[in-house]
Amino acid sequence: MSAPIKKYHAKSATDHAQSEPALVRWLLIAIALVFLTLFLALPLAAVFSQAFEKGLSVYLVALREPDTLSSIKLTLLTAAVTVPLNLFFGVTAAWAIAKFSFPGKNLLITLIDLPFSVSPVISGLIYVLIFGLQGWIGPWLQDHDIKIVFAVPGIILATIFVTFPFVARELIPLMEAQGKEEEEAALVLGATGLQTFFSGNPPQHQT
Amino acid sequence: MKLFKRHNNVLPGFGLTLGFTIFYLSVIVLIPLSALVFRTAGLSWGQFVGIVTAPRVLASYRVTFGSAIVAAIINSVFGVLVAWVLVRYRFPGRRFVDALVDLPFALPTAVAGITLATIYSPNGWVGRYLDPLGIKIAFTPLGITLAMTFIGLPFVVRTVQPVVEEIEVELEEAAVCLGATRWQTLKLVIFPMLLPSILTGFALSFARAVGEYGSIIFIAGNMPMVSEITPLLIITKLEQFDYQGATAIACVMLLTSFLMLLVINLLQKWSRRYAE
Repeated sequence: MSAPIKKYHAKSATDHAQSEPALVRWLLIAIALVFLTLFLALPLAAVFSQAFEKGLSVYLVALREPDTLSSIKLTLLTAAVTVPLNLFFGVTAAWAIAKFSFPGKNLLITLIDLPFSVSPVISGLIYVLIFGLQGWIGPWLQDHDIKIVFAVPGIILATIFVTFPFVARELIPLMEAQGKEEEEAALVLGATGLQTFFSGNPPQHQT
Repeated sequence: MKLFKRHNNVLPGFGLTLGFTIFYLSVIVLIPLSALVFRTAGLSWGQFVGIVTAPRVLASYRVTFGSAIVAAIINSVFGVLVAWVLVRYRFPGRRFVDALVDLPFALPTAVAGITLATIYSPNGWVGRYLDPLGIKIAFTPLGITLAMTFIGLPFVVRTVQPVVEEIEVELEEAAVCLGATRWQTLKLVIFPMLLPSILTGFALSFARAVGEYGSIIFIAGNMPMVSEITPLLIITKLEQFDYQGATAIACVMLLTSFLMLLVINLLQKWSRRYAE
């Protein structure tokens, strides 16, 4: 019987019951914009202006330097490896958490969130502690001449750690909001597990 | 599986997905973190306390946590303002500003640090106006607070924004009908609704600021006892091969992260209960 809840959309506030006097509004907008300019727009502008300070040609030459190219390649390689891994993990974890009830679920969610709150310095340190020369399996690695720390595998590991929670954190609330009804209906109609996952879910999983 | 009978887990894939989740989590997160704890457990209690309460370390705590709290407070105040302005008011460029708020997320921390250091150095775009006034930002603790404010900015805005969007107009209209002034409505009706999300944003921004390394070291000055942040101290000890010291301090930071995570989770639980 109650009317649908109205979400507030910014409109020219002629209705004074729902907004502040015009002077206050514009003052607040001005303060917000000054703050954002100082902290966001300026750095953004500075990045670009400094990059192109000496002209486009100098910028392109700097880009083509071997050091720059190899670092770009390294960054792209790292992203190419870590993103699919974390994506696969995120979807798997979200499925396990959102579609099932089990004891310890909250603990699991908290543990998945852990890398988000840990300092990046620590995330590198812990892998040095395991794979470094003084680490747990460091001597074994050195005997077999496998380089992990100070090499690409170490970089990839640390990047996986740091970006670990992102996909799961995005998907879990989404999948929880979807509920289980669609999948249960698909089951009743005879779909196998994988069929249910792939055909029931693509639109929602685009995130 | 009497344990799960109550909850009727009929969908397939539980064992597989949970198993892989726990495996991946252990390999990437739990085992490495436990290495940190075990390494520190090798120290005696006296040694541990001695390391983490050394004067230089205490000074770094003061710099790091002190700056982080100030930065988080600044972000909370202005973050709420920005979220309110973005949702409630119309002005030219609003969408661009909305997208801009995510900049600190997208910018690599090193880029952010170098850029901020350049702008606020004595010759920089802003620094050149502040330097004659005697306000030095770059390479001082003030610069650390500035960098922490920059990186924590999106947290408060993005946490508060959805809540402002969900405020029911009927509540404000009812308040006006009952005779409230606009200020009273804001203070007594709207602010309590926003408070849980503001606190969550504060905690998130604080947690991020405490751990941050890349964007701060360029602008920080990094002088021991004055402007050295704790993550930098850990790195310095590592470079000197003082693994014991580094792991001990890292353990303290890890403990802080745990606590912050707990606080954030509790706050989010509180705000979810409040929303219902």
